[in-house]
Parts: sequence; C-alpha cells; structure tokens
Amino acid sequence: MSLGAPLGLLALLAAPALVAIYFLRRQQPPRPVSALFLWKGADRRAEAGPKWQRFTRELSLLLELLAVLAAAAFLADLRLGHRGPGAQTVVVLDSSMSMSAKGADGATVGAKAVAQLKALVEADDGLVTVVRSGPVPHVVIGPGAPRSALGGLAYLPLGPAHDLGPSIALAKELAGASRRVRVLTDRPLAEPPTADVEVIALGQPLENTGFTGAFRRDLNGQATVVLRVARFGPAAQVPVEIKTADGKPVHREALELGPGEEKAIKLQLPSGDRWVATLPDDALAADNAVALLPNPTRRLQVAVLLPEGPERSAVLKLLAADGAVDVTAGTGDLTIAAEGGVSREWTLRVGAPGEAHATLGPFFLDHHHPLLEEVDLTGTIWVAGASPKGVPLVTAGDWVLLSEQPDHVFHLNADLGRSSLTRQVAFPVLMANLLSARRDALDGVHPRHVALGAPLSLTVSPGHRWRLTGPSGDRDLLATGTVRLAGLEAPGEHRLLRDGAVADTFFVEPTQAAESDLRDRASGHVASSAPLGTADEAESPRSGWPLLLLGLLLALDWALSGVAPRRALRGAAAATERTA
Amino acid sequence: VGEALRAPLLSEASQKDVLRAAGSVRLKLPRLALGGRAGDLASNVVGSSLEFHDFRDYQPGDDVRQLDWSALARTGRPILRTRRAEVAPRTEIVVDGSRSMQATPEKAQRAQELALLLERVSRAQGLPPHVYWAGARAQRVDALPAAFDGREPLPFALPRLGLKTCGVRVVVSDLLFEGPLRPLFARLAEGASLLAFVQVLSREDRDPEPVGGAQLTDVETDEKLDQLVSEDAVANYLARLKAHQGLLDMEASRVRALVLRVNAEGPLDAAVRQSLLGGLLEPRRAA
Repeated sequence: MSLGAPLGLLALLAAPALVAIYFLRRQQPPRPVSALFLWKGADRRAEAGPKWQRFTRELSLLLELLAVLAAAAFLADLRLGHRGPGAQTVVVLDSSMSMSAKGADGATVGAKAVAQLKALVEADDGLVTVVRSGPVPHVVIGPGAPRSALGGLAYLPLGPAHDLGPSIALAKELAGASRRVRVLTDRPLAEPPTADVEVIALGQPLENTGFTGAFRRDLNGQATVVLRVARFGPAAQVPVEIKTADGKPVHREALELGPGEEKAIKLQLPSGDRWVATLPDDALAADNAVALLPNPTRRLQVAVLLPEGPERSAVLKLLAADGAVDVTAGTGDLTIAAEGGVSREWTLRVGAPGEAHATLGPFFLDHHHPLLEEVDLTGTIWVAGASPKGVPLVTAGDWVLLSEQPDHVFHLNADLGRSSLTRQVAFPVLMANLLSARRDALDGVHPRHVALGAPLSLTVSPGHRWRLTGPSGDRDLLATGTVRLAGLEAPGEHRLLRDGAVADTFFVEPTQAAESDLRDRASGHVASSAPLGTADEAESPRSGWPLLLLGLLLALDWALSGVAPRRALRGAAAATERTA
Repeated sequence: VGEALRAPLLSEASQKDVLRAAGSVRLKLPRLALGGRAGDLASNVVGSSLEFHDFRDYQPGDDVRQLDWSALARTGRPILRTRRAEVAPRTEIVVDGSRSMQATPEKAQRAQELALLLERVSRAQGLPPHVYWAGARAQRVDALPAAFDGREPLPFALPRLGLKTCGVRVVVSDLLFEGPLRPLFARLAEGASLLAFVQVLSREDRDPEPVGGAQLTDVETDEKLDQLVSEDAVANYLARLKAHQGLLDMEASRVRALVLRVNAEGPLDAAVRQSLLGGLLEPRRAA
C-alpha cells in the first residue's frame, strides 16, 4: 500500500469535524415529555423490525466517517497491492565516453550496460527509472515508467569525465530514502558507495590511443594546426592522418609513442576548408577523430583618429603587425583617438593633457584586468598629464596613467612621443590585449575548438534571439554579453543561431585524456542490501475505487437517514389511523 | 374511618377548592353488591347475612347449619345455601407517583387535588378511603408525597401496592405508558366492584406546540430523542395519542371500567363538572 499524494490525508481532518457536528446536532434544546414513545413512531416500528434500524443515526455517522475515509483515500491516491505503487528499479547509467569502449568480444560497455539494465528491470518486475549521468544528470526514463519505456531508451555514451555523485543523489531522491540505487559503469567507484548504492562495473582494461587536444588557427593564408595524441598502452607507432571533408589527404605522419606518452604535432599548412584528423581504429573509436574547422582571426575595423605624430605612427605600426585589422578613418569596431576627441563605445583615448610630468614608477597595475595581462612597465619612462576620469587601471604615485570609463572607453594618459612606452614590450602587449578584448566582445564563440566538458565562452549582443544547437541539445540563451556555459556533453559540431540564422559554428572535440585512458577500467560488483524503491506511478490514473466507495456510502447514508425514516413515519401514521 | 389524608404539596387555596368541590358531590355507587368489611352494605362476597347469594355443593368444614335440607331430601346431595356477607365497602385510590405526573406543575397539582377530592368524598360517604402511592416506593400513604419520584410506569409498581378486595377502586394517572394493558386492567379490576381510571393530561400532553428542533427527554427514563417538532410531527403525535386512548377505552370496557379524562389546567370545579360528574361522581342530594 502506498500513497500517491500524501497531502490528501488532510481530508481526514473532516472526520473529527464530522463527529463534532454529529454531537452538536444532538445538543438541541431539551424538552421534557411525559411519553417519549408517542413521539418516536418510526422507531417503534423499527424495534419491531430488523434490529439494525434502531441504530440508524449511529449507522449514519459511521457511514459518513467511512465516506470521509474513502474521500481521503481518493485524494491521497491510495494504491493497494504490489502492482499499484510498483517496485521501482532506479538505475544510474554512466554516460562518459569510455562507456563506448569496445572489448575483445566486439560489444561496447554501454551495450552491456543496457542489457544489464533490462535484465535488472525484468528481474524486479516493476517500474523503472533511469538517470543518465553527466555534469548535469538527466532522467531519461521515468520516474516510475513501465518496463516498455526501455524500448525508447536513447543512450550514446560520449560524455566527458564527470563525478557520478550528483547523478546518484538524484537517483536516491527518486528512489526514496534508504532505497536501492544501482549504478552501471565501467569501473568501481573511487569513493566507497553507501549501503543503498549497488555498483555494477562492466568495464575491462584496454589499450587505446586517442587525441587529447586539437587546435587550428588560420591567419594570412596559413593554418596552424596543433594536435595532441596520447598512447595509453604499450609503445606503438601511431599514424596520424589529416584529410579534407571529402577524403583528400592533407597531411600524414607517424608518431612513435611510448607507454602513456603524449606528443603534440604542430603543423603549418595552407589554409583550406574543414579538415578531419584521424587515428587508426582501436578500443575507443570516439577519440580517434577530431574536426579542424577553419578558425581565422576575427578581423577588426579600427578607426585611428590620432593626429599625425609619434602616437599615430606607433599605433599604426602595432595594428599592422596584428594582421587582422583594417584601419579606417571613420567608424569601426574600435576607435583610437586623441584625448578630448570623439567618445564612443570601445575607444582608446591617447594623450597627456595639462602639465606634463615624467615618472619612472613604481607603477601599480590592476593585473586582473584583461587589458593588463602580461603587461610589465618596469623601466618605462612615462610622461603623463593630468589624471583622466574613470576607474584607475595603472597609477604611479598620485597620477592615473590608464583608466576605464563605462562602455569600454579607456584613457591612456601618456605622451607617447616623450615616453619610452612605445619602445618597451609593454606597449605592444597592451595593444594586443586591447584588440583581443575587442575580438572577444564580438558576437560568437571563442575559441571554435572546445574540448569535451570544457567550459564554453561566447558573446551575444542584446536585441536578438540567440539559440545554441548541436549534439548536446538545444538551448535558448537568455543572458547577453559574454556568457560562460558549463561544458557541453556531446562531441560534434554545434551552431550558434541569431534570430534563427547561423551566426557561428564551433566544434566540441572528443579530446579528454581521462576518458581515453582505459587501462584502469574494470568489472566488479558491490552489492546493496537496501530494498527496492517504489514508484508513484505518476503516469497511471488515480484508483477509482475510493470514489466509487464514497458514492456508495453516501447513497446508503441518504437511504438510511432520509428515505427509510420517512417511509417508516408514513407507515406508523397509517398504522395509527387503522388503530384509531 | 381513619385519619384524613393530608396533601402538603397543595396550597391552602387548593385544599379549600378541594373541600368545596367535595362538599357538592358523592361517589356514584353501582347497584351491584359491594365488597368490603362487615357493615351495613351488602357485599358481593359470600357472608352471613340473611340475603341469599347462591347454592353450591357441601365441602367438609362448611357450616352444616347452612345445608339446604330440602334440596338434600330432593336430590340426595348435600347442597349448601350461601348468603351474602354484610360488609362496609372501602375505596381504594391509587395515585400514579411516576415522574411523568410531574411533567408540569399543573399536572402534579391536579393529580393531588383529585386524590384528595376522592378521599374526602369517599370519607364523607362512609366508605373508608385507602390511598396508595405508586411512586419510587409503592405503599399506602396517609399523606401525599411532595414529589412524583417513580422512574417506572404504573404497571411496574402495581404488584407492590398490595391491593385488596374493595368496593370502589380509582386510579389517578396519566396512563401514558407502553405495554400490554389487558393484564394490568384485569389485575386492577380484580376484587373491585367499581373500577375507574382518571386520566390527568397536561396541555403539553394533549396539544404540544411545534417548536422546531428539540431534544425530547422522557421524564421517567431520561431517554432522549432528537426530533424536529414540526407541524407534521405534532400531527403524528396526536394521531398516536388518539390511538393510545382508543386502546385504553377498549381495554377498560372489557373490565367494565370507566375512563375519565381530566385536564390539568383550569379550575378544579370545572374539571369535576366536565369530566367526573355522571361517571364516577354525582351531585350530592340535599339533606
């Protein structure tokens, strides 16, 4: 017996209320009479007839109390017997990529896990709830679904390495307190399971070779490709092949890898369309191929509005070195202007207005700011003017040398002609950081090759409807600006849609050493003595019998307290007439 | 004829009303012979007067002086000639002392007034009155108890009263009880030349008002009944009361008893005139 909606038991509060009403109803104003028998003609008849009629009022109360019980049973969704609540098989299916490893028998661990799941459900002869593990656990079947739901199980274990704890916690919630939860995985858990967790490990140690990193960047007609390959097994010669999407070879080389060794390949290739890097087939096929999408540096339109002079020359020189900047005289993604000139979003204003003074430092820098990453001003002679407005980023004594105002307006308080800043390495680093920050603030995904499970950073501007689609699922992006998402759970090509149109494309690469290393996989079984959980069988309708019983009780009560006394009264009156 | 009955519950005015009423009426005695102690009235039991009563066969121990020698000579059988006893009949007044008689003060007062009236009338008529109280203690009394305390109806108290042969037996009661009436009436009629029931009913008994919901409580048994005292319920009650009274009349007629109904409310004189004269009482003739 179980309750689908225990709050329905609140209906039982009607029982004491009913009893109270029953006794209140009996508290009528007293009236002494000489002969009570003359008033209860119906009861006189009842005494001569079936004895149960003498207790009509008490019976009525009893029926009404039973009716309250029936109503509470209906509201609380009372279910009787084994098949009502149903034993519930609650299983956590490990969805990490290593579950796709193929053993000597040709079957993947995932396939074995699904077969084991079906066997467990068959043996338990009840309902089933399946939680697919992952950085965010998902209930893929149930809760409390019939066994037939297993036919629709979509299980493709290609996820990143993750902790099974959250998934087990969710499963425990669904199973109920102190109820058994089964975990189907490919190795015994690192942490010893609690008494209510049964672990069924189906893996086996295997040797494997896989990509553990992939990167491509295209600039000036040249593609820089970096591939990292690891060998998890005995030393072997591993051929690495890069092909175009239609199978034309681009590059091929063999790597000599020792046991557990990881090597990187860096290639400079003429830019082309999408490439695919592959490794020979082995135990884990998922990590044997990575996609290398064209990844050109985003071009920036930079409006340089500085007057002719050393400042302009220094800036133009650095912009030309970037290779992906178009200098304009009007508007652009970034504006570099003299102090006191135009002020718009993403503007660097350069100049030292007012009385100039030189300083050798010490300089205080806000190194947490992306603009000042790796910037070292040691030895710089800085000639500055009056301190500009905004949040100070670089200061020397009382002078503010670099500050930031809202809308990414930066003030570089420097006379570049008289300062040594342009001759120091700090200046190109500062400018490169500025261009990089501006590129990162453009709509799209950065970078375009994301490792499986790695957090994803993307930028979306307001005023549009953004949506992310791909093998990891579809989701609407509600936030704007730079958004950092948790690691995507499935490798493959993903798209960022702006108002329904593709705004950017990126690839989640199946490169995770923890999942490629199959040497520690094993089988095993940790049993649990906890009982099976029960399901609320939410999909099945409420039992109708309490409602039927309620109706019957009310009808019987009405017949007893309404119809029978009236009929008896009429009979008594008729008998009286006859006697008279 | 013994000490006069006292009725401490009755006020002085009520007692004066009783005496005034008693002075104008007398018991209407039957023409049949009466039973009672030896005196100047003929009895309906065998005795030693000169008035012939019956013949019967001689039985050992009988007075041989009463043998009808002529009959013996004619038939050869010893036949005894019996004669009526010469007795003075007494009056037994049985007052129902159950709590229902005190359902209203008027009802209790009227019952005591009637008992006192009958006692005074009987005494004035030379019929020794014996008053029996059928209350919590069933006994003969010289003074009417102040409270009607019986928790049982009259039939239950009757066997404890020790009624004897008498001339006139009057039962003052509301007669509102269930149960077989025939054995009760037969027992009361036994040994009495005249049996009369004086049924005292209050207005609540005769014509209850429809007061709506009420918890009706039997004053004798304390049994309770939640009842909607509606017009219909009152009509049903009256129908059942009428049937009950019809039953009383029928059973009384079987034992040649009178049933006289007296209202508890109103002056005693009026009640006596309306209900008792002509049946149990008759106007006293002027001396």
